[in-house]
Amino acid sequence: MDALGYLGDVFTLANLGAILIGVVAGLVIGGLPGLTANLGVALLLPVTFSMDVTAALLMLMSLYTAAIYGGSFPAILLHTPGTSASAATAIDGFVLTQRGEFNKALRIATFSSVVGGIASALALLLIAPPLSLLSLRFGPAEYFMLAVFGLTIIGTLASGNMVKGLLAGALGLVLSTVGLDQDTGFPRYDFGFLSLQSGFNFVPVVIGLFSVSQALLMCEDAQATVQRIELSTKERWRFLPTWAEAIAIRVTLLRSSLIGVVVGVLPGAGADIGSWVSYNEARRFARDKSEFGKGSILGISASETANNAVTGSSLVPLLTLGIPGSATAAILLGALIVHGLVPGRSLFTEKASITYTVIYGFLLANIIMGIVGMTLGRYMALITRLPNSVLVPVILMLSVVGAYSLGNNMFDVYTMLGAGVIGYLMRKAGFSPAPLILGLILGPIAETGYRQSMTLSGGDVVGFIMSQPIALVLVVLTALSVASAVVLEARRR
Amino acid sequence: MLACVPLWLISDTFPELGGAFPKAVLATIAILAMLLVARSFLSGASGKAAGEGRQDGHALLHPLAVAAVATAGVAAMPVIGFFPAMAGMCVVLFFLLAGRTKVLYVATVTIALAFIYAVFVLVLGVPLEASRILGQ
Repeated sequence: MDALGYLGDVFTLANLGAILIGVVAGLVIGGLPGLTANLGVALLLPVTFSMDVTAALLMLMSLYTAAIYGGSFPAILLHTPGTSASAATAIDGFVLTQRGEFNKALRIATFSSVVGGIASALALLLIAPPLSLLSLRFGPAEYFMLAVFGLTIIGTLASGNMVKGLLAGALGLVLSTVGLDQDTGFPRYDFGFLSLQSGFNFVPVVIGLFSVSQALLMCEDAQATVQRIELSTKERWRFLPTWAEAIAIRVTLLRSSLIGVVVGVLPGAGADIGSWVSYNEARRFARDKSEFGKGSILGISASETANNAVTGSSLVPLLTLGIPGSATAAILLGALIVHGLVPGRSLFTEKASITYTVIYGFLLANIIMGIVGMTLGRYMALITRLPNSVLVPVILMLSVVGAYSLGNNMFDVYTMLGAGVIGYLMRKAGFSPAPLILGLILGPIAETGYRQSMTLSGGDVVGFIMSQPIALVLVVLTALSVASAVVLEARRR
Repeated sequence: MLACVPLWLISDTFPELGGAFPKAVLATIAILAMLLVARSFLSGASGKAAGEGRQDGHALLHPLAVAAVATAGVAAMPVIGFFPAMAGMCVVLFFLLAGRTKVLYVATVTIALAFIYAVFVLVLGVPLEASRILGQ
């Protein structure tokens, strides 16, 4: 069956239901300032364990894109970006809200997010299959270097400090070695605890590092909530931009979609980078630059198109080569593995029915997201008024039940709590938890590649890697990513 | 960096192939840790990335107290079951977080517990009663 033949598979009750749940959950998560797409995907992950793999992935990916879009609601209504990806939207969006034109701001943001999301889904559909052919040429050295490259990218870009990012990634690699040795069955770092012999499951660690650490951060300012504004308007509620608005933003939509897709494909560069780059480019190309910052619909459109255009394209390196393009993609990599899927060419051959259905479903999710978003838009401000003291217990309870439901054992719950405290302390000290998670996920791939390279080379791993052309390219890319991070840090100083 | 030493020694007891990768990673950690320490001594390169949240010393008190309450709630799960343990945890958290909006708090927590019951107990069949948690 060709790729287009899987389009009809999206329209099952289970898949459509999964998309709808993912979209609504994503809008709520994104709409709550401080809660991120990572947290949402981590919390929803345990719910998907017993689901059909296609519906499960659709639910998680719908949540991802809807959370990025959902961040625009508090950005526009309350000048408080729900996610960092919507920070640029707040500049012009809130000015329109203050003028009583929040419907205009929301419909521009929604339309732009939908266009950006569709562009990213199309990019995923068109770029991923040919790129996956590259994975067929991968051997042990290439897989080892791929893991190192992925860690370097996330490690250098996820946190503001390259050394801290790399350290967190290396800690994740060490954690991945806990448990029975894959070849000999020898227990490693179990310290006599039977529970540790099966190693650390990544799901409780993800929930702890992203969700519990966020809840603990919110405790620092438990009464925090966002300011109230009057949201009454006499203007008719419109779902779509007017014809004049659509004409005005058409070039921005195209340019920002392209920027978002390109930024998304680059591993490590997330939706916030795409959003700011796009906003700056829109201002650079604008006839009247003075409008920016004063309620420009071009500014809103640029930011929202690009941040959603990043979502799908950040999954291109994930699905084809196993390199997550963002922290959320790193959690999705874990979700793929939990559901028995291995990134690479097989996703587009043996597992093509799942992969293409998920991509088409992702495209549909972006459209549903727009419809649901504009329907709920008027009421989203109510959600954003919940104080942290109310949200913290909810996040903690969902984290506990999520971790427990994984294997119905308390060890996972304690692992999750421990990871939460460690994640909180890491974030306080300026360490990003994303590289640690990636290290935990990529650890087994890296170790297998390292061992096989050792065996094949008789111990000369470095020489063996240097003798493989693709591995050598990855070595150069790794060196370049480290070097660029060093230069960027030096410039910042 | 200090933790690398005992972990390296433990790795020596592994079979040769099983210890190779952990040792390579531990060596990397040690080098990176030394780099971090060295940077912290350099003027103008403090090695600090902006940490999140409040940076004053008291900021840690509330979160760590909440973590302790959550741990106590989790420890109570095998004894009294998930729902009573979490309800108890929420009561303590209300006072700890100095909640002001009692009605909103109770309503949100109740909805969350009902949601968990519907999804995890009724749909997914996760055993959350005390006797079944204890039985694991």
